[in-house]
Amino acid sequence: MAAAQPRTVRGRIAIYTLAIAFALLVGFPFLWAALTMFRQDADLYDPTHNPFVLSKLATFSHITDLLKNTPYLQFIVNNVVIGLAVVVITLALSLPAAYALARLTGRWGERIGIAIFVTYLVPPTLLFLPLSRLITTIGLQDSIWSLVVVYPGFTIPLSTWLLMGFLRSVPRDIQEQAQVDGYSRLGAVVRTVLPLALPGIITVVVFTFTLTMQDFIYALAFVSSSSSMTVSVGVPTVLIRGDVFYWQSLMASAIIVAVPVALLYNVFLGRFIQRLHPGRRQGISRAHRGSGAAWPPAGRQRRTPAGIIWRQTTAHSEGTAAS
Amino acid sequence: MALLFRIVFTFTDMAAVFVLTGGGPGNATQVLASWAFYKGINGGNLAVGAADALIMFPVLLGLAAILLRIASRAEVG
Repeated sequence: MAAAQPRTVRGRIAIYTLAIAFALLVGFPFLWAALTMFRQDADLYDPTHNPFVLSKLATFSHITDLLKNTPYLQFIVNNVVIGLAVVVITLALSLPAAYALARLTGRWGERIGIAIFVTYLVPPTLLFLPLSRLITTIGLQDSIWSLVVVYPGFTIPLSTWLLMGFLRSVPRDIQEQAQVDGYSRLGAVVRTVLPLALPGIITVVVFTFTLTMQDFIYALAFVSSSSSMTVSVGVPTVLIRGDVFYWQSLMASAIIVAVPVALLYNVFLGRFIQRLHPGRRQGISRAHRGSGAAWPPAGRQRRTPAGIIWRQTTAHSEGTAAS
Repeated sequence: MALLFRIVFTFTDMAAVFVLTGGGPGNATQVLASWAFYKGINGGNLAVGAADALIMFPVLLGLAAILLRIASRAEVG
């Protein structure tokens, strides 16, 4: 393990203090939002109130207002539909691409991978104008499907890049062994490589979904009727009328979306960090344990001595690492 | 790498401007990215908006090239 436990008590105290301070800093906006969403108007506009306590009774009226009198639920549905569609498109295109780049193209794979990643750096602000023209030409303006078409443009480069890393960390020998045992390349990939790269695939799904939720400029440029807006664009459009900010509802809308996403991230964050971990053998075995599946995968034991191969490669790599 | 990301995305972020000030008062808080939107989509003047957006491109390209070079040098060293 690279991150060693600090030995001294003082070192530990320092690290924990730092961590707690950072957590408070990061968590503060959420605390603020959570408090504000229950605040009564009279409390909110009282300049002498203590911002950290509710000086009047908590009220749910702004939340019910948000849910009943604004198309907020419609925004969420739009977001989910767009997100799922984009995830499917992204995986369908970036999985084969990442596999090919990681395994089949040799030295050029790496370079092309970087080139693909660099396209992710071309900002949406540059692209939204020409794309808006394009969207109008194909008649998708004002529809959530315009976003489904456009979002893969930035999710695929990122996903391909991430998946390349995950797929490369799967030992070649395992797939080759499956091929020796009579599977086609495709069959071998589906049965051995993909299950091992599952944590990576899930990470990519979460990332893609969150990216589609974060986008602002495309959604703003392509969609103007509130029935097809997403949360990020719809909420400010509906809840900021002129100079009046409906703070409680705004905060509620942010919390309602952010909390599930934050929980989701928490679940998958550990797996994401494993990818960044340089010890690749350890990364896989741990990730595999994490996914709840037994190694070697059940059902493969009889047909392939994958477990034996696994042990051999592990021993081999340990040997080279030691020397 | 993270720095590169931050710079590029901060440079091109227009959501904060759009939501908080709408570019106002006047055009005092307008950035290149939000101005491209106001001209190109809201104003209907696609050419001006596109030109505005393209101005950002060489700046970002240069920045990305420099940072990528630094990053790759750090990896080798």
